[in-house]
Amino acid sequence: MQSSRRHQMGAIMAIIKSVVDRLRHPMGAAGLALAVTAMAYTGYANIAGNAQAPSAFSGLKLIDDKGRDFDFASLSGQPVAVFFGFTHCPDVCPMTLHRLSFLRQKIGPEFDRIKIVFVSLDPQRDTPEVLKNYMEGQPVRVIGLTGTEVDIAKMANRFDVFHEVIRVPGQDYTIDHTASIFLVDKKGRRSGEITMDADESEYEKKLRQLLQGSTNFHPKNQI
Amino acid sequence: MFLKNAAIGLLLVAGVIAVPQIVRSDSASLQVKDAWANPTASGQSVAAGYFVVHNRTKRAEVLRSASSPAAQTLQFHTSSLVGGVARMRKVERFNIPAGGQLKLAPGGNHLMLIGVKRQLKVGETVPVTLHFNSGASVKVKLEIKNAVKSSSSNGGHHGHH
Repeated sequence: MQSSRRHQMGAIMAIIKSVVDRLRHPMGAAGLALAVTAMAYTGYANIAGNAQAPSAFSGLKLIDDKGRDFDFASLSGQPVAVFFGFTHCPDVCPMTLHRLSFLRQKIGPEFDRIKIVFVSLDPQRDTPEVLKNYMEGQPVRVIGLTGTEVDIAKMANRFDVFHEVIRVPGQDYTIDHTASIFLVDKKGRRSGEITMDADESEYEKKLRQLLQGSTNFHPKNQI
Repeated sequence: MFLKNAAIGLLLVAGVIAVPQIVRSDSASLQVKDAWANPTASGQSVAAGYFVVHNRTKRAEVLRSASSPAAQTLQFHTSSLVGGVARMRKVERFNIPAGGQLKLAPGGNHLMLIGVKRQLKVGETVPVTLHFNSGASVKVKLEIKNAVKSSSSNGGHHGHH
């Protein structure tokens, strides 16, 4: 522990020395910017415990409703609301979508800055085509994602989402699942959760906070 | 003679008509209101329906089954939320106390239309017949629409038992 800290201090001192050197150099300004970035990174790695991935979505792999690999990097810089379900879920899943549409009316155009992501827990029935049809009929714009069982399980684990297939007599199956909405801020950090039984004012408060977190973001705090 | 036969015939016809009228007058005290269902996406084979049954009779009633030409099977289901996890289970019947009501709403008790034969679009209606233990049956039309605000905000609380 002690030696690793000394090692990090050494690294920082080396960066400072290089800053001082660079300032005398014609390329000083660019060099300084690089050094500051490097220092900031060292600081971040320290806080995050060196190994922590910077985004809630890093390393995940799913496909979109056109069957293409979804580019999770496209979510960075945007506030995101993620929830899990399946299109053959006729009661609970539409409720979440309709609530989001009420909130859209209440919050106004700003709401549309939130990227809403629906992750299917039913890869067997939710092919990209089925997802596409389902999303087109929704009252809010939703990015529908599906994938292999393994990739979906990885995504669900990332958000601590419980899911279990339940056989239903006279029907194929249904899926018990965590019905919360998970919020991820523009820096890719988990920033809360709205449970299914939350009332509308809680939904509104948390979604506004999510939006605000990305609006009042000060460059000084940037990593 | 002809007139007499015609009169008997009329009486018989009247009798035949009278039988369903008795059933109807009985089920008239079972009133079904606010019947609706969510629209479905193309290719989606299940839909949830909701309604309120007012039992204005003096005896407890049991809603035991439902049928519709629009779906292969109709079942009753209940959703619940326990520890953030939504669960849906089949239930065999719904009891409606004398003078009481049964409310089916999102996030709680609902009618499940399984094997929906065509896409259900906003503005359409789906005929459903509800069958009760007393022998009464009530025909309702589910209006296909998106959830209205009030039922949605209530909805989450129906799941708690």
